[in-house]
Amino acid sequence: MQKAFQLFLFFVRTDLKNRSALAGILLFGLCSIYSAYLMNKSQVDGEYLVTFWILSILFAGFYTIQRDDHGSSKSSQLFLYTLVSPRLYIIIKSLYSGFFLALINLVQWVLMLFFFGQDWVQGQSPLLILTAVIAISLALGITLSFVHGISLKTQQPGGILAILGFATLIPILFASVLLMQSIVLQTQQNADWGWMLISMMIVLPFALSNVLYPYLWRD
Amino acid sequence: MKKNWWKILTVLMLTYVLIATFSVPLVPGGLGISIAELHRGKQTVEFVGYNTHFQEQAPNLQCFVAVGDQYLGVDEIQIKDNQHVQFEIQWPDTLPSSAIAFYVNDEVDGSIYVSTALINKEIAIISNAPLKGAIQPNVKTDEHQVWGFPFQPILFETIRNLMLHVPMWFTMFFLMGIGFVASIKAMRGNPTSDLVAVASVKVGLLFCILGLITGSLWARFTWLTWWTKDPQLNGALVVFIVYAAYILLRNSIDDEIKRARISAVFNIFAFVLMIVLLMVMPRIADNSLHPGKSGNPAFSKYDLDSSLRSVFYPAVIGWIMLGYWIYRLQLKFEKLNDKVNRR
Repeated sequence: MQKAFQLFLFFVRTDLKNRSALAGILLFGLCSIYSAYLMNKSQVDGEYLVTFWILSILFAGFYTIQRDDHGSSKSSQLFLYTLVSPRLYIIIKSLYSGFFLALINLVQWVLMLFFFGQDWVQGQSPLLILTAVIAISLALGITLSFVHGISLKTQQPGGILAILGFATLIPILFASVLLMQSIVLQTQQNADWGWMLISMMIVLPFALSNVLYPYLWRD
Repeated sequence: MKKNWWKILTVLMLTYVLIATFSVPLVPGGLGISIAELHRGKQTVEFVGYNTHFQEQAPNLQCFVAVGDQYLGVDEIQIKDNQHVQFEIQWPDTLPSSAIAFYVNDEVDGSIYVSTALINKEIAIISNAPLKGAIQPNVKTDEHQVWGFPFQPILFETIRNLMLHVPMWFTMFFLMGIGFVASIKAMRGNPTSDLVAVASVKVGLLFCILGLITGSLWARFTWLTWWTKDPQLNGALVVFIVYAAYILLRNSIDDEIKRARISAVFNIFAFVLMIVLLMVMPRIADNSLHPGKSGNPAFSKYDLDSSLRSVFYPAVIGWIMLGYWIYRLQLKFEKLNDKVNRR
């Protein structure tokens, strides 16, 4: 447990040291929401904004995963080996990516409220929205961490991450759109289905990456 | 010959399946009627049948109308040909129900009917009241005496696609299953299993494409669109993309052992994702148009009668055997390719 905490702190410290990365995240969020504002300033439509938010978190997901290079070289792998086992590494890495993404996505949500006002989310529970944002971010973070682990072992990690990520993220994007639209538009039937789907997309990749990830490290 | 018995059996089975699929007729059924609106008094109705034998069965032909659970007789029956019959109905001033079905019965076609919503602005509906002039039809048999595939509204002749579309998915599952087992072996350090996995996935993808094409064609005729927001339909496309990504991933790693292990990891992930996308999600979704999903009646419950079963089951077995045959050829090719690359 202590080792896991140390690794988590290591990720946090690495990110805090890299100020350009943090500035990049803020700039990224601002740019994506501002482009939504430019495209759609004439009308504030919840359905449209949710879809745009989902698209922006997709880019945020890829950015978050691409930004770090832990485990990309033999030396960094060796260093991580000394800290924790591969299984514990992927657990911490997935959770860290998920919560890091949740932070970015919440910032984007706040920026959207700033640009577009709060009329389109009037009457919705902020706690429900917060839970949904965290759940979606966890699903994205966990799946992308696993896929990133695979792509690092190939000759073209960037390209392979895009290809594998695109294929495996479609169900998550579908679930995210369904869930967020159902929350914003308050349709209960779709909400149940959305929650079920997003939970499945958290549990399944998490369990699979736990079982399969150690095999990727056997170099 | 002894070694290849199953290949001969595959050819024979698929020959039987293809001949039966395209030559067995549909059983008789009612296609439609000529009126869309009810009028007080006498009304002439033309009944259109499909694969019916009205002219041949003229002496035995009976026509009547069901109103709720009561029946009304008709007059002046005129048989135009085997598919068309015209009659007159004298509607009473009141009807006990708005559920109206037009029946034609003969000894070959049995009882066939058309039940359609009719606009009614003239005749009052008094629920469960006795029907004036009601009769009790005296039919010899309700069952048709013709062997054929079921006549189902909306599906009509496209029901034949059951023998092509559904077995494609069974075959794909079978082949991806082989790939899954091979990948588990490859992950545990058996690099030759990687060739088994890639061969099965490549052939599985072929059947996935065929399943998507036959499904899209079926959707065009029954749902009136080539593609729609159906969880199973879109799940199948995602499965195709995920497995295509597997092929790309495998091609991007040069080291043989590393390639076997890493692509095996992804293949296992892809297989579990396929189970979720094609078997779990469509069952819990509430907006599926597929039979057996979201409360829609399944083929097995209503339509998969003995005539369909006698072709459908051999079709499933035949297509799976063909898939296995192609997979073995592909595996030979992969092994040869591997040998050439090693030199």
